[in-house]
Amino acid sequence: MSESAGLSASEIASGVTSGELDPVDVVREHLAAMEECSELNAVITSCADAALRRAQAGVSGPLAGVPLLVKDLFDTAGVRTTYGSAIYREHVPQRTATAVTLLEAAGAITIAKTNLHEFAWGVTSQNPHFGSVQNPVRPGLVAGGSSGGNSAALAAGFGALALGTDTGGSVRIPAACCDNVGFKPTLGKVAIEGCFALSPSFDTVGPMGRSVGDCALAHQVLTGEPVPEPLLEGVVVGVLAPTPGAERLEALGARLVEASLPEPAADLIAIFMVECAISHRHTYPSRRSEYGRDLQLKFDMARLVPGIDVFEAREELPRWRARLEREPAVDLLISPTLGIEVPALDCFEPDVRAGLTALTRPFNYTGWPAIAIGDLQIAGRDDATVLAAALAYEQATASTT
Amino acid sequence: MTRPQRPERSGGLSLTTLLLASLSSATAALLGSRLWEDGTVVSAAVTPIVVALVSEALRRPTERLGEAARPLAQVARPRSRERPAAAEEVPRFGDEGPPPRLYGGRRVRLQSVLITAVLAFVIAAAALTLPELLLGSSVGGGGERTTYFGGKAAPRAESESEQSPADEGEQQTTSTTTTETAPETETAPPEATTPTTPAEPPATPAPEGGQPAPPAPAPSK
Repeated sequence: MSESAGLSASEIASGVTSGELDPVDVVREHLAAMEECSELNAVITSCADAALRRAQAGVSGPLAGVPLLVKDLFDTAGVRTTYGSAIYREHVPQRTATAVTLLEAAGAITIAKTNLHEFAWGVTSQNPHFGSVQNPVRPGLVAGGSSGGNSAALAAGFGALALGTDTGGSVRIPAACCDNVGFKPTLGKVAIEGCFALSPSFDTVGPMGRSVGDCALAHQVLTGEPVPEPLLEGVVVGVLAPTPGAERLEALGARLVEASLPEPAADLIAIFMVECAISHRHTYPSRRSEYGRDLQLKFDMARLVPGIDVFEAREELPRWRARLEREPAVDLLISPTLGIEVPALDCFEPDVRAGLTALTRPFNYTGWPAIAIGDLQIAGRDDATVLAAALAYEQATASTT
Repeated sequence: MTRPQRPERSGGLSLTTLLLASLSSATAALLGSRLWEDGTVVSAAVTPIVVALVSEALRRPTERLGEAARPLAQVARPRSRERPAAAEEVPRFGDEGPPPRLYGGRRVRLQSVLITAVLAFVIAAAALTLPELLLGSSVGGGGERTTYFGGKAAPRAESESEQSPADEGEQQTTSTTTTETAPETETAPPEATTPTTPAEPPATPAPEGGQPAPPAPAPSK
């Protein structure tokens, strides 16, 4: 691997800012690593020429020269944006999504549009049109999804920072599958304009990286909120399920208690399903044959969701969220990120999606922030508390390794 | 396989809006010339902008409502799972289709509004002015040659003098008619006008159909 490929985003940014690193070299090295790893199917469209031109023009800011991977669900002006689909295979938008613009304005350089589960509705990134994303950390297993291209690329070392979306676990699940970090901020915290809609009640934009620190830095750029000080001392952490890393949190001063989320009185998945059907009503079922097999099945099911279920779920969601302001009486919740083991690459996604999303989807329903540090998920009621705990955990982990 | 690029539909002109704006502009020009001496061009220019903006604004909530209401109506009536459509029935990529459903994708397109308004003004001006130039006087009246651009209406006498001698007989008739009617249509002295006597209202208005009114029902006991 070349000199800069594999460095963290903050290391690259400080190196470029101080003049120790040449952004052109950084981009070239990451593009070379990307070329070497083409068999991962992590990339749909390379932005090599534009990235080099931008690096040559000079960059500055808190993300100066950081090679950025953008999930191909975000519009990028003049750059092909497929949404992981055959239907939009040659689609070239005229404007750039707000979140991408914010990161680029801070100095990040988009080097690639990354592969994903078709239209972001799936958790394995087995894409029938652009190839299944391979897992560089666990060969033969899925890379997770829907932002699987981001995680595979981060794990392989090309790209220091990535931008993804999370509707049921789509930045956290791939982060767990490929051993990196994915942060889903509070619902609505990061601008979502210019992103293809899946389920507007739950769609959330979030950063992905190889470290919590990089995600916190990106979150600062995306929201303007400062990076919090690492903190776990005195924090009450509810344990939803036996979790790897729980002892370490306790050793850092957190107080662990058993906890559970109250059950909603209606099945909230009805909202998700019907919103997916709505988002695609202009192309499904009219262009059914151009969708992958698993999406055909999901859309057929989504269009059969009874209206009364949607009505009841819509009524229940705000009531349930109001109840969650009081209970459980903890500062944070932890669990494994994945509800099941990482599935094999030849699995049928509808068979594994319920298991994979079992512990991530609840936090899309709550709207709370949640971060996956590999297979450790930390969730809470506000971004700063979650990031502070995650930073403390990461610092302690780094110091012991 | 390289497929044709999907055209983006944002920023396009709506033919319906253009037609509405043109008709509105023409109507505004005609009304404006009657109500306000200098109002013709102003009202004709402003109207298509207003129509195009209102049309854009009205279309958007309707589309949004459709997004929310239609799928709910669909799921409220469970139906058997649809069979996969035959390949030849499915529109292929490159057919005209909707743009992707993106966040923040709905904005009033100022550029298309302005283009629509300008085109509508030109169409309306042309539609009124060309016949007026041929006829020699404004459709909206007022003694001007054109509704939009003013100008003095061509006097009949001048045009008569240009007629060939062969047309003289026919033209003479026209001239006489014009001369006779002119004083009545122009400002007449007040005393010359026939005083109008308001018609006395009928004691009992006839009901629809001209039948006599039925007797009032007797008060109930």
